[in-house]
Amino acid sequence: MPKNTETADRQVVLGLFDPAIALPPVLDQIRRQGIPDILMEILSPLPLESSLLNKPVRIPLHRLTIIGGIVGIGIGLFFAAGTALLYPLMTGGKPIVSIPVVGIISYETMMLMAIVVTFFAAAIKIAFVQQSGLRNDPRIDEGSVGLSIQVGNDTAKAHSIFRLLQKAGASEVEIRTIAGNLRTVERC
Amino acid sequence: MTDRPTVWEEMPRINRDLLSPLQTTTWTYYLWVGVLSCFVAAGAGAWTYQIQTGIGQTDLHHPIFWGSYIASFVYWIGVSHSGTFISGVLRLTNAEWRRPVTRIAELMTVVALLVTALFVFYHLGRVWRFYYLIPYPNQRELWPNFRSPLMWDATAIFTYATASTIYIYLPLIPDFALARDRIHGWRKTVYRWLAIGWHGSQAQWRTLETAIRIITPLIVMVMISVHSIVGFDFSMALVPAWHSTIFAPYFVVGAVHSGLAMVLIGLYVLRKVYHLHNYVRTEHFEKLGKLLLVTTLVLAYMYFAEQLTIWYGKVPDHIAVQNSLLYGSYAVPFWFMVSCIYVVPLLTLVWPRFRQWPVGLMMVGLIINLGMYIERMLIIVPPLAHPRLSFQWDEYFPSLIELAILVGTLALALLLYSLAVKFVPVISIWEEKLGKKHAQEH
Repeated sequence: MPKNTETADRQVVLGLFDPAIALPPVLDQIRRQGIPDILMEILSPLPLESSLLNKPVRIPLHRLTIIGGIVGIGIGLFFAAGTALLYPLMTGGKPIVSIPVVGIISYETMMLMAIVVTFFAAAIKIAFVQQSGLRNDPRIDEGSVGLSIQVGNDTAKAHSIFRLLQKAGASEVEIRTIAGNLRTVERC
Repeated sequence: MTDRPTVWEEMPRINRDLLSPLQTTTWTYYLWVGVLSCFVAAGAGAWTYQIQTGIGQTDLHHPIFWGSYIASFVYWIGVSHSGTFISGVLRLTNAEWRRPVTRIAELMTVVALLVTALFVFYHLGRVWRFYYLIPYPNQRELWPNFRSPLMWDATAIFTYATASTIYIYLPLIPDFALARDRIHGWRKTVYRWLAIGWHGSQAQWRTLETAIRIITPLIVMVMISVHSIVGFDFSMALVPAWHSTIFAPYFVVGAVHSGLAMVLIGLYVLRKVYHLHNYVRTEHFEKLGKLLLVTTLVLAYMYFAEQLTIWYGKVPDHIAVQNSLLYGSYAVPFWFMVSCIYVVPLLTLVWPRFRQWPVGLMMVGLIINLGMYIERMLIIVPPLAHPRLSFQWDEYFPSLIELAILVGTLALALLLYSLAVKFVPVISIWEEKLGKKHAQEH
């Protein structure tokens, strides 16, 4: 195996399945071939109800939401209380820093930052999720479930997985070879 | 192999049906866009004239410094609550029937918020100095006063506009990916950018669903706060008939009322124009009709409580405003408004057969929106027209320039919505499929 994987070919096997076919037995067979879950991906036009692959979640999204919210409270405090203290505006009968005002502004900025941070975190995760070799396949949106397996540059393993998917009932199977920007597809 | 689930077989047809508004355009659409553009141009011309000649072109004068622009601002903010309420609250309550309705409503939210922002600028007068409102260190030694409810309003609306844009965009990502693979031309490039590499992996679905699940309750809380703060704009002032504790919840319910009514109109029109009868069914109108009946009753209860308290208290400053509404100079619009937003909906929506009649519901939606607009005017103008010293009492009616700007802005809202329909699937395709899947499983 070449050490520099950037320049080496990478191969991805994609099988399209009828949604009625149960995938867990197929996944078990692939695991027995020495492919870890991290190199597999299920593509579907809908979210599947159960998680069939065991992949670790590095940073839960809700933690980032909480961090965003706390930062937002800080921003609100700065604007409503901090700037009032920096540039005091004397008004008869009114405090320089008004607690209800600070509460209202901090509430809004907390919500703003919590939502914005959640959004950016989710967008980054969606955009950069393990997608080496993964390409959108329009046939999946027409009612198929795709099973994508990365096999590095091991051609023998790619063909072995190819046959396994065919045997498991995949309606179509293809091996995508990626060398730099060049992609070639071998279909059954 | 077991029997193939029907929803998977239906997917090509669902894709085709729901992407067809993006792919086919008739001459009537171009005509509609052309007519709207003319109205928008007229409105823009009127605004240009107002900028050149000054805010004196309006009928705003002492003591009535808030008029049609602020009323429109409040009205359009109310309309913007449609998307968040229908999408957010119904998503939180797991109401499956929401699916074909949410996108139509969410689009209304974004368009309404864009239009709302314009009214702030119309009302500013010297609009080129709008940057005075932005809090940043400057040599003018001006700093926004955060103790003013107007500043709370600016903060809340900025939060709501940002959050609403995010809230409509997130569930659109899978639909943008679908469009990316099926639509050609310049839009394909835009869809590719907007789809941010979506390919439907389970990791992506999990992230998307988690993000939507987190943001939904947050945006519902923002929605409630925004219109409460719009209510605070009035109730924090010591103006007779404004200084009331009920204003914040009343404004929230009123916003949902007009928003739901607007969704009924949009639902009917889009279903008819794009032949979406298989997706937007009578049951959706019926359920929205029931919701509208609830908001009518709650709003009527609040309005009655407010007016009864003023009447029973007989505080002279407050009763003067109420008298002007009940039998004074504002009696005609007041009773017309009461008929539009309370009487007509109550007399019609209580009948189950009526709630199954889409045309009727659309008409009720139109009547409610007309009434709600008048209601916003009546909240603002009569109290300002009756200050405590009676020699200052005056009257107000929008000038021709104001009316031209109002009509042009309405046309702009319709134009933006019509253009959006050609770019965004009006029904969330993946959520529709998911809904059908759930329906088959249960």
